[in-house]
Amino acid sequence: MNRLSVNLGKLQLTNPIITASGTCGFGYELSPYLTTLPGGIVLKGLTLEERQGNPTPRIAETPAGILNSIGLQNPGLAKFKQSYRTKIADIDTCIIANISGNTVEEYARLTEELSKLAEIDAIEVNISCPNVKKGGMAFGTDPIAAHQVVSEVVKRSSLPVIAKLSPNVTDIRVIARAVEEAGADVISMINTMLGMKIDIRSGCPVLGNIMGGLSGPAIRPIAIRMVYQVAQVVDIPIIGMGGVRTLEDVLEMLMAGATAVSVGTATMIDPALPSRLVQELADYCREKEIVNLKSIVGMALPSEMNV
Amino acid sequence: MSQICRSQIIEVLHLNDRYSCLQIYAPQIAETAQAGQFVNLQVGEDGSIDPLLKRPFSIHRIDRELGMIYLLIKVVGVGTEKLQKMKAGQGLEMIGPLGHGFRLQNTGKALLVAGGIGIAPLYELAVQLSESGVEVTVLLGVTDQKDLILSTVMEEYDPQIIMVNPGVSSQRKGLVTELAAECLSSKEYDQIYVCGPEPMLKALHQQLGSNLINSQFSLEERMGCGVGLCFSCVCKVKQDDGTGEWKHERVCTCGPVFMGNEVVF
Ligand SMILES: Cc1cc2nc3c(=O)[nH]c(=O)nc-3n(C[C@H](O)[C@H](O)[C@H](O)COP(=O)(O)OP(=O)(O)OC[C@H]3O[C@@H](n4cnc5c(N)ncnc54)[C@H](O)[C@@H]3O)c2cc1C
Ligand SMILES: Cc1cc2nc3c(=O)[nH]c(=O)nc-3n(C[C@H](O)[C@H](O)[C@H](O)COP(=O)(O)O)c2cc1C
Ligand code: FES
Repeated sequence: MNRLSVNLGKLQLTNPIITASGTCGFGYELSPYLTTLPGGIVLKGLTLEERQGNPTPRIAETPAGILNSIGLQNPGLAKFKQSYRTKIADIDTCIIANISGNTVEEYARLTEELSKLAEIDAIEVNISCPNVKKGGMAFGTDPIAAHQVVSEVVKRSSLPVIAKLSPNVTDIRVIARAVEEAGADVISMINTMLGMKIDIRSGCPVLGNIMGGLSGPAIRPIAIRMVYQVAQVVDIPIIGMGGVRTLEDVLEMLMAGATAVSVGTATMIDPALPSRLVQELADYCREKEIVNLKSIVGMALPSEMNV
Repeated sequence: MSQICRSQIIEVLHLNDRYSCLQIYAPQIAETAQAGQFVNLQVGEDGSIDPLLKRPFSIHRIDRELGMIYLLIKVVGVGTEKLQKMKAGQGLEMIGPLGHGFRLQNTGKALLVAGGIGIAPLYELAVQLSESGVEVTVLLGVTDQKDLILSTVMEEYDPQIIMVNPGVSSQRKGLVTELAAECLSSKEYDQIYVCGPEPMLKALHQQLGSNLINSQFSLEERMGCGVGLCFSCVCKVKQDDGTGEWKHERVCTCGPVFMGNEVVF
């Protein structure tokens, strides 16, 4: 019996560690560094058409974090099917596609096409990218738009649907409830927080696209707070992420109410980290005689919630 | 294949307050490293939050027999300052060797053009080219007197030097592109290798004309992961379909060395 296995609705993972979209390429770039596979790998955000993304510099370091403004550079659906899917075919874990679009119809078409691919096990709907002009975060900051996109994706998908939420909102619970009502199987959160950095020598913004998304340890307390809030108002499982880097951070995220935990920025710094976290979590469970992670998920929630 | 490894600093040679040369024991990396490849190294202590990211540095010299690699470092900020202050015996976590290095040909004449710290990867290149019998000419453009120390790094290849702000009249004032133009008009070169700041790369790229096809450019871009995961480090290269359109490619995995006729400035 694998004590690390978790269920995310219809999706079963061998362990609760997942690598976050945009920080593990299309999986094949990361897999050579992985000795133990994480329970899931979320691919770089895909759009219907190929995108070249934003001008450089696209990354800047900030206290305990990074700002990125990649702008969803990706090969587009056609090239993905042609040249990328074969590269992920023999990575033996749950492969999750992450999708973005300018319109609801684009999300729906991507869903239909990706549902047909044997390599893909679930679809994560990115309604929270802060780095593109149209779509992206615009859908994720309005409950009505979020509901509309997610319900259309759910309708067209034969795979489990994960809705990825933006932290750039006043009350994330409203959006969480909207996507649950729209039929999402899982919620993943959080995407990056919109931020900015200025080079005081030149007086200019550092990023080519001026603003970017903040990730890394700096945002962890925000992510913990939001997972804790959302866990109290939805019944579907949550994938928690934002600044996770150590076993302690994983445990904190589980206790806040997440069923699985994604690592993003920390994988960029150390590509072997996801494997190490799986092993450390296994050791921890053995040591503490935890036979099912359910016993720590949501431990910090108010007692009437803690089932 | 690149590896994540714990290496050890053998010596930190302070060339002056701006430049240092690190000798590092990293046999796994030295074994397979090619000229023009780089390593991504952690500059803070384990689990460091500031600085958070690893830093990319070209492999300056390789000593396979002793399992050593050398890095030439210019101090520009927090990370490079920390590196310069490191002591022999300290451990360093690094990933390498990374990226695609120079594609060497074993015959003819080679022109190596460096701008400042761009000299770093050209040393190992010069060693390997001359070992295979290629005639090597090195041009070095620097800003000021302090940068002159970079020429000593290349001493055995007798670099021709040009300076933006010369201190004495015996030193030639100007840009390295001028030196390159003179060399190319007086002699035929079969291979041209360029590494330096972007304005210099761009100017040379425009000036090379029919020589572009024999040229290789080592590019630099702000990096996140160094191993192809994050798409932070892109540059523009020509589409393969012959339309003349460009696309973004990752410098860390497709480069840092690109053919002159494929890169777009
Ligand atoms: C493939 C590659 C090879 C390189 N090889 C060498 C080398 O051999 N020797 C060497 O001294 N440097 C090299 N660099 C540049 C080096 O990575 C940066 O100077 C270093 O990361 C700066 O770290 P820092 O913490 O000191 O600076 P920070 O405090 O992070 O930044 C200070 C300033 O340095 C500049 N900078 C920061 N990161 C980069 C970067 N990745 N590329 C260019 N400029 C940057 C920015 O203008 C910034 O304002 C290379 C870069 C790349 C991408
Ligand atoms: C360089 C970079 C690229 C990203 N690209 C995407 C993306 O394409 N789609 C997406 O849903 N999230 C993307 N994200 C957000 C991450 O998946 C994650 O939600 C966020 O970084 C917070 O987690 P972390 O602090 O562990 O990095 C990206 C993050 C980074 C740093
Ligand atoms: S630095 Fe991450 S892809 Fe190149």
